[in-house]
Amino acid sequence: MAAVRYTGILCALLLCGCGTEGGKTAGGTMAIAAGGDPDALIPALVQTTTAAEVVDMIYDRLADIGDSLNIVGDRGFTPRLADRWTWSRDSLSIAFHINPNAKWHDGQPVRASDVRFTIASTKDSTLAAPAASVITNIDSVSTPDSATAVFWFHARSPQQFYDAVFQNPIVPEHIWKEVAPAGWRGSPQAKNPIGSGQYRFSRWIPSAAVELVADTANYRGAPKITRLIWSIGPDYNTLLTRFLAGETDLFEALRPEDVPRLKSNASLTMKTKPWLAYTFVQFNLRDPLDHDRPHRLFGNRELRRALTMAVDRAAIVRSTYDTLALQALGPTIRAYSTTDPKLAQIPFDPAAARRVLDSLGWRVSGSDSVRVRNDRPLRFSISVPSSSNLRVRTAVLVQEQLRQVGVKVDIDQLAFPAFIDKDRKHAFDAYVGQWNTQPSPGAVIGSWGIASSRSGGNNFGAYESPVFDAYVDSGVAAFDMAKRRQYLTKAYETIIQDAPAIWLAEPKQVVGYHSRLQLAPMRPDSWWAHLGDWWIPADKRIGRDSIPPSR
Amino acid sequence: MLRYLARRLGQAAVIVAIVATITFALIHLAPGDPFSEILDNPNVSEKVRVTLRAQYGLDRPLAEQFVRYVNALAHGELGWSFSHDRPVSEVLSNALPNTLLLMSVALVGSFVLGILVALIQVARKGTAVDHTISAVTLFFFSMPDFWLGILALLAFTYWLPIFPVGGAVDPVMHEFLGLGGRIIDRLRHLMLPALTLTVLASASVARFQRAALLDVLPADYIRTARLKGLTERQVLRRHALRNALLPIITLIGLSFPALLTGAFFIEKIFAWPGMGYAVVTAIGRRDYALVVGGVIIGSIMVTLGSLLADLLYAWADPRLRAH
Amino acid sequence: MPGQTQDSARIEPARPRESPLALGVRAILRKRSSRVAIIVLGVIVMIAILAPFIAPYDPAAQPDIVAGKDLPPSLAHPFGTDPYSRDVLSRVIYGARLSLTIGILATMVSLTFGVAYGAIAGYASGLVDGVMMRLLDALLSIPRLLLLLGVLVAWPHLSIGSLILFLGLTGWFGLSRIVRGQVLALKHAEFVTAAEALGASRRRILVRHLLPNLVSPIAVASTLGIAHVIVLEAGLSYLGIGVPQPMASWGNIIYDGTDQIARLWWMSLFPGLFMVITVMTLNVLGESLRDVYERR
Repeated sequence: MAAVRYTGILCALLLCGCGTEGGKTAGGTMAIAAGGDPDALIPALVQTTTAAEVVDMIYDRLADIGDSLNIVGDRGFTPRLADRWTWSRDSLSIAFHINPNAKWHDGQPVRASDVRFTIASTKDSTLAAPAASVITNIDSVSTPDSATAVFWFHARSPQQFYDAVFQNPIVPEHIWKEVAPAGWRGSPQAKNPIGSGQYRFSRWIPSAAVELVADTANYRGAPKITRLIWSIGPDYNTLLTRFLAGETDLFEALRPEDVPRLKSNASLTMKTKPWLAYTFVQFNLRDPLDHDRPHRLFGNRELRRALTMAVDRAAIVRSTYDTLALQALGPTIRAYSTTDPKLAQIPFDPAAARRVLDSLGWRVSGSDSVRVRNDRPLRFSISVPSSSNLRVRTAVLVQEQLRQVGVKVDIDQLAFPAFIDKDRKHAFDAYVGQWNTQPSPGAVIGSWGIASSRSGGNNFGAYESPVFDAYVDSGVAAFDMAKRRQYLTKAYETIIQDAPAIWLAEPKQVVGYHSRLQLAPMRPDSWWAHLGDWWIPADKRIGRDSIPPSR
Repeated sequence: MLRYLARRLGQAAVIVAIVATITFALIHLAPGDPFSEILDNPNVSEKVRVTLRAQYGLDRPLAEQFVRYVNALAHGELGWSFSHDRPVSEVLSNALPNTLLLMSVALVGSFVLGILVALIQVARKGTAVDHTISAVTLFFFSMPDFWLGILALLAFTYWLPIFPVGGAVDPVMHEFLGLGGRIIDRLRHLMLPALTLTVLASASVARFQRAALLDVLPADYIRTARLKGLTERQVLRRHALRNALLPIITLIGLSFPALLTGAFFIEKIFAWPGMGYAVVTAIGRRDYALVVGGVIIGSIMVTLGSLLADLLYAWADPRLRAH
Repeated sequence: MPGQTQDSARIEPARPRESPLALGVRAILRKRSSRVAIIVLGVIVMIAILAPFIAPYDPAAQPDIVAGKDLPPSLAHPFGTDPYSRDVLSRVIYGARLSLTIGILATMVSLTFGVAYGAIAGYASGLVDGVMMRLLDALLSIPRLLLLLGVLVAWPHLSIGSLILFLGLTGWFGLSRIVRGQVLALKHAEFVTAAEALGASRRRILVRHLLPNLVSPIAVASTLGIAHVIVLEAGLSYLGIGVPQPMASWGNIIYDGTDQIARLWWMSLFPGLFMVITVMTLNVLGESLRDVYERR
């Protein structure tokens, strides 16, 4: 094994891992099923779930979002590296006071300069951090003294506190300052991360495991479980089999079909939680070959509405997710407090769909069941990433339902990179997509707004509605909750009736876990948010729980 | 002999160079770029992508990328695998031992098993035993690698779960086991993929070897041996098998590509962390450098395999030794 | 071996000249195993041709996507249903059609290329031949699967036509080497030199004599080639880059069940069995043919 092991260094630093607190004995090992290696162990560069889980354990934010996921002002946010903060009178700056007890895993104290360094690096274009575009409202960070970091903003906004803390786990300046941001990704530091979180990095064996151990000297107190191991598996079947065999303790992506197998296993249990994701079939409103022209089919709003009417969204959601998803409301999720769960939808009505298609001139002629207008068949393709079985399944179901009303659909199964490349170049007719969104409903502009359709953003289908954009902008800028909700509802109503996509599912997340684990509440955006508070009762421990903490 | 060796080595080098060119051309004709994958995140801007592409030299003209690539190759570098964030040579050299382990276990296993089966068949030539075994070897010979893999996975990890699923070791516990425990852990994980590949490979060995044995049996020296009063079994073991082993050397060379391809599917199905697994994953992620590196290493292995077989043959066959 | 060749050479003049084709057919009918193979293959081909009349359901229809999906084998659905509530038996029957068609067409592409390339190399000789053969060596040392993966990833959206083309384009290397050998042998054969001395055009002689001499390697290469393509197509479909939905090929059906192998075992088992049986019959036939022609 060529993987470098750092256990030796860490052992020297480790204090005793045993201790008691409120009857909850510390100790034990939790093995977490992971679908792949972390893509990076640098907070600003993280893209995959596994990496997010690991990084959130190693690094801390200044403050963390509350379980209600409120993003307006600082309500609900709990202190982390910052033990307190004060707003300036004009609200254009926030001063964070660093907890004096906070220390990096190498023993150095956490300073305000680390915060300044983190923000400056994230904004450095040579690092190419995805978060950079989200924190544009942050101008800079100044450090009047070593314990105070002041964030300066360009403009007042309801979610400026969220912008400052949520996207930016703090990294140590003394570790990273020698490395140019462009070289962070491949640097030795990236393979041996030093953070300030409740867990410290132990080792990473590519394609096999990532191991963290409790930071017993942590300023927030030691976590209850001594060791976390992400057990990396290549595909769903392997992950599931290992989980059912008791080789892992937690599997966060259980499919509905497998819930019965889990229920028949006494040592396993599960929790269904809301998730910040919605799925859809997006139409391209522009010609795939000439972006200045409307799409030959989907440029027409009535046609898009007719196709939506022809698809039995409820049945498709039931077929793909069973009871573990709700029908999507639009480009939003029910977990937002600003989302009205009774948003009106385009009804499922194949007969009406046929009537509209007839009236648009698409007629069934002769023996062929595909509708034709001016000798051209009503035919288009839906692209899907072959790696996502649920999306492939969705496409095949939609294909058949549209066939029923005389529309021919071809399915392009593409490797994920090719799939997303086609989307980005607007070179598709339609695609099955899923957005994993953020605690802020304003994120919707990034995937359905005019700006992100024109400047190479993620509005691949080029839905451009000034009305929709204006309502979202007003909603996000409103400090009053009722106003916020009112504007956003108008925005959703607009986009739903314009039908730039067929809204499908709002999936829930099914987390399966070993029943000896005692859980803390799960936050909708991350089940692991309070992992430091989970514990394993001493009398229920199994083999792997007795690995000595000094290893 | 030396000159023969030099000529064969030269040929092998030319082949590898052509392979490098072909694969480079193939992979770079692909649409899409390696950073597309991070696009499911709504926060990645075009600017970020441009920066990333520049960082990895993907914005240069193809010709320039190729010249750089050849230059690096000449220095033994296979480039940088961005999906692993480490040099391709490191990724592959980490994976290669696992592939070689799998292949060599299967190679040895299949030759032992295959030759044994062939001997049994030839000793009972024309009987029901011979026909039945022929049918069985034909069945396995005709079986797609991945299908046998799937069936083995179904049978021995789901229905009768006696083997662990996926990987070369238990990812959670392996590091914490003692030496004996680690060896047992490795063997448990190796067993099923190695057995599957062995069964697949031994079918062709058995069929090949049976034909080879039947070819030499009518030869003059066998006739002489029989006349000397040796039993049929002695004839088979002492004379026929020894002479029929010559074509086996050829078969080793020939079976290399098949073994490698088989290993690809087997590694994919059993998540065996070898080269095939690394390349299949890299294809999905558009990790150009890693795929090209994998194809080149794979082709070098095949070329070396046939070179080795040729040399062995030249050494074993007195008629060729004169050269 | 030398003794054998002499034997057959002695017998040859006594036997009436027989076309290689007739020889092949006779040889196949003589062996029991190949007779059985012919019958089984015939049945599978009939199933493929008569698919619309045999299949109990429309292979693409999704009668009930909520309650009718993932059903295990039963009387109504002997091979079960898939995650779209489609009947697996009907899909396997239609799959025979597609898998065989792909096998045959791709092999035809391979034959065309293999014969052309080999003939040119053999005829040209010298430097051209040398370059062509080194290129061939290189192509032969890239495992076909790797080559295909590289190609298919480069063109991810594939129609059946281009899939067939690519399968064909990666399958001619071995054959072209044999063809080149035949051309070279012919070039130096005594009767060609003799005919040339008598004033006949060398090129015409080669063309006239080449084809009959190629019948046997082509017959062997195509039977084994079809088998190989069927397996390869299935393998590619298993990796998710093969035949598009809602069409059914054997590999495709297996792929539809891969993410749920443990639960939907019927989706791997039945199409796989059909595939193995087909490939077995083709291998038996190909080998009987090879035996005949090589012993000649």
